[in-house]
Amino acid sequence: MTAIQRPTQMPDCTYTDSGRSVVSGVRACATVISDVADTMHANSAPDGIEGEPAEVAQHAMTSTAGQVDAASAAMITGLTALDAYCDRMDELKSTWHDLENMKGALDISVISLESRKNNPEPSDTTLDSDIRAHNSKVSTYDTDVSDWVRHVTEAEDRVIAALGRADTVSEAEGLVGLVPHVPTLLQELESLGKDPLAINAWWLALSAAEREALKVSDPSRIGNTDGIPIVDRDDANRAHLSALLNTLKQQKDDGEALSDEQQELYDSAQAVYKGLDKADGELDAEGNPVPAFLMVYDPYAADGDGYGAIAFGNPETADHVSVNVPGLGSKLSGIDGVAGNAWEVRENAERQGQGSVASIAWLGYDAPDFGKSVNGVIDGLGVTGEGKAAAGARNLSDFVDGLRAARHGEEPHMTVIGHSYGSTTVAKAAGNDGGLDVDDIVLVGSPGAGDENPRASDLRGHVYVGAAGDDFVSRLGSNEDLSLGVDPTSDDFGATRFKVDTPGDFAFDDWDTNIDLHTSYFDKDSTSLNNVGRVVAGRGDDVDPEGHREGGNAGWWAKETAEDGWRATKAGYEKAEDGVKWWLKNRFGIG
Amino acid sequence: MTTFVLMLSAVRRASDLWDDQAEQLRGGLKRLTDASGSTAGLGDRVGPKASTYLATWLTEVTNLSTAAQNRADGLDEFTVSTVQLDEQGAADLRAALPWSSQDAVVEKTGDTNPFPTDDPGPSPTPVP
Repeated sequence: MTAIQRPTQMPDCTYTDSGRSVVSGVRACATVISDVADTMHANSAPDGIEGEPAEVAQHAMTSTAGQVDAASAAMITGLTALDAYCDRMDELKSTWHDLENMKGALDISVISLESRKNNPEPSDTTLDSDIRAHNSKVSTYDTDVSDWVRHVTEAEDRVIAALGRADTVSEAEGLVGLVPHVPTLLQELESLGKDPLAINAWWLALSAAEREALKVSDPSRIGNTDGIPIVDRDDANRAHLSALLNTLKQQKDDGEALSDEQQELYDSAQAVYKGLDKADGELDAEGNPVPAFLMVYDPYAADGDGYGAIAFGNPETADHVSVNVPGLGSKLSGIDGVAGNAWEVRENAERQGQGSVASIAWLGYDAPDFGKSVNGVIDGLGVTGEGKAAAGARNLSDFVDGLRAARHGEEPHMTVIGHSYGSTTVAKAAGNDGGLDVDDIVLVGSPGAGDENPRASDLRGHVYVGAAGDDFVSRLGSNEDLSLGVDPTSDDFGATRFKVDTPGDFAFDDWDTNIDLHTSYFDKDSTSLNNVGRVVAGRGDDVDPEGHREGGNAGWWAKETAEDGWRATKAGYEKAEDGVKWWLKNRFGIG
Repeated sequence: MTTFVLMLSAVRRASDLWDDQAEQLRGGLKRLTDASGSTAGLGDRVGPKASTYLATWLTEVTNLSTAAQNRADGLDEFTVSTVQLDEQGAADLRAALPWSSQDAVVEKTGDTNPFPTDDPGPSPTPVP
């Protein structure tokens, strides 16, 4: 009888996910060191300066520049090695779990075979062949364990050697000339323009050290360049975010008051963290943690309103990808709300059971502000017109092109969702004047689809629309002057309209209800969200259908005016700016 | 003894610059300190080596930050305590200013008030 082999003991794997915190901490500090180095160099004695050598040597910013250069070189060296080590160990940890499961199965097999061997049954004619089959699996397992230990040792040796080259100041001084020359790399990037495919190919051809050097030296550029892979954008943007927030916190801790601009930066940084935190501890349908990526972080854009984008799930690998584009009043300090909507879309779409989903909250354009009243919104839109939507449409197209360029597998099913003024932005991007090309488009609470797009067929992609009957913003679309294009729920436009919930009745002087009516499309468990989730999951044919609006919106405004009584409308009308009065009169005959 | 006059505004700008660098470095130091608390996650062999590496750079960044803050504080103290400099004082002060502001400390050429205003206007030409 063949002897039963026992599997070798599993080695410990002491590497854990928290090792990544070391990488992100060093990267954030390296970003600060890089900034300080730039400042010191800008204020140093120029190379080749004529003067007293002693005076130059004594000059503090010149000598500090040398010190921070050494620290920067050491951090880039350590960071590159640590990041590569964590990447490798993440793979090996996964293999370790597989081996552990295999060991458990083999242990059970041993018990079963020993029982059969110790209590032989005449009818058990396969015992010997089963033992041989078992032993073959044990041999494979033992080899795999041995390979695993070797791979771990190799990975450890590599990072230990790299850290050993950079763990004293004198060694670091010797590394200064060996780290990548960032200005040359940035020139290369500049020469590629905004071509995301070329940028992606260029990035992938860089060495790991070159990528790290770029991420810590110019995190804003790397984090916000379309075509650079999402993980690297996330690394750079988080380093930028962390360095900025820690500097502002330090200023507060030192008892120094923040200026208004600094307070806005502080608030927006906190909002970004709150947005990213929505995925904390959450698992996807396969039981894996849902990753969150900071794809865009530019707090200085749009005159300080800021740009940002947060992805839940990986858009480079997901079967379905959606992009949520918010509207009126959106700014980076409120991105946690936009992220909340994107999160709910992801959750709902995944529940449709059509594959993996990545959902992105994208605030990459300068959305118009408004006064908190019906007149304020109308005035804001009237002043802004379609200009900001057109500019945003270009940014959105570039962003989606970047998503596609960074994917190397099959094309995903892609949906872009525009809410409020964001729907005008989306429609202009996908319409006659834009370059966006996606599978499906969702417009909710839309004030218009852009003057150049009178029909859904003018947009690339199947168009779905949702609008509460009493959402006054969705009643602004018309063919008249001063509009943002036709109402996309109208019969003439011809989109697929789906049902939404109606959380109240419009009233000119009930701002809270009016806002609820305009902002409830992504509420958890709502009819609207369920329909959006179906579209995102590729089940657009299954949305709950709703009939088109007919006869234009002037009748609705006249009805609301009559229902409210002239009291509220008159008061609102009298308070309105001249431009709004003219608009109401010409559009709806009010006034 | 040679005496010097100086441009207070240049000293103040330099003080702010050093102060900003110190603040930034302290912010970076926080992240590095956080990182050093997570080295165990890198595993039994790599964790201790990473701790050694981080300890070096925690010390160095602390030193850089302290030096920057001392320079900022020194310049602040200087502006309120000194009106005339000897040669060593002038050399020390020049050392702490941006290179482009070296001519903020110039040899006194006449019987001028060293502090006519916070910003005394264009830099006087250094005496050859």
